[in-house]
Amino acid sequence: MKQYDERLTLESVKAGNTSDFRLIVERYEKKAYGLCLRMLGNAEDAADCLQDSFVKAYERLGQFRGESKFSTWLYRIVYTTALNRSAARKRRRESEAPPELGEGARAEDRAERDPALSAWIERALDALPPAQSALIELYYRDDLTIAEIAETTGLSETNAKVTLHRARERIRQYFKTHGIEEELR
Amino acid sequence: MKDEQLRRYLDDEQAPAERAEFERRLSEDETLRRLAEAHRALASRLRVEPNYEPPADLADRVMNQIVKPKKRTSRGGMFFLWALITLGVALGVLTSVAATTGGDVSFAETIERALIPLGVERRLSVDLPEASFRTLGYAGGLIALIYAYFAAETRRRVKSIR
Repeated sequence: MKQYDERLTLESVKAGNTSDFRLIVERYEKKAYGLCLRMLGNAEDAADCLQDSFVKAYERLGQFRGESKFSTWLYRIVYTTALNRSAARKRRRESEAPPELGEGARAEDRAERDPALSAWIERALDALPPAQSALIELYYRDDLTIAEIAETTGLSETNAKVTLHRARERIRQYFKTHGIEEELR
Repeated sequence: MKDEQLRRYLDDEQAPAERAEFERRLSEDETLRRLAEAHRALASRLRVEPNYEPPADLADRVMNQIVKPKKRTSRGGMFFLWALITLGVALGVLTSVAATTGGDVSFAETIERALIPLGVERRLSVDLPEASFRTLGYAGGLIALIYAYFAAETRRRVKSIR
């Protein structure tokens, strides 16, 4: 199996070794899929979005000058593709409710990844507008900095911070509405 | 305003004096303190990354798409379509000119006179009857229109299938 070296891989693909683009797909597919899934709400749309995004990235690879991180450049394509798709298609929502939280469960007694709490968080994220849920995904799960998020989304850094805060507040309100705000503590 | 102050506090953007003042308010305002705690707790919960699993064949699908040569048939089809339309229009215009000249000037003479400003001065070797040109022009135009209709219809159907 080939060792992944981003600079060499990009140069190789640009030089015409198309097959090396597979290394890039395999490197980023998981996180990029997470972003698509978060913004589009269902696996089928997310997979199509991801495929489109990688094909676009391949076609535009000549435009990547290395002025930013490749991952940021790629995420921008994924973000824009998903945003366009979400605007064009009506977002489908899961019909079934997430599992109930255990009665009397307290935060300190629960495992780090309580499946029921995770399901509620996912549900709350699904209820966010795609642009807000994307920021949550990029900041908390993909570990992008605010500057990188600004570059990816085209927002100013201040705007990105404000949007992120609003997204958190909406999630908190979602938990409050469902009477489970205490479960976050 | 309160919301923006909370955000700046959570993002650690406040100047020391502003932060001290905000912390004083937190100690006095139970609701505000609980709100700040909820945001902090939420932030740590959000960092738990779900196990996303993209389709197993995604890389294959992408690679199949990018190595597939692009079809050029549509460009060829468009060239043929425009060539036919141009021919049809040209024949239609020429036959109309011929029809309006009438009198003792033949169709071949009309074309010869039209070509003189372009530096072409010679007799046309073929002197077909005017009606033949007109029929040819109408037929060409009609074929071009039929072809354009079916090309547009085929394109629409292919798009709807996709």
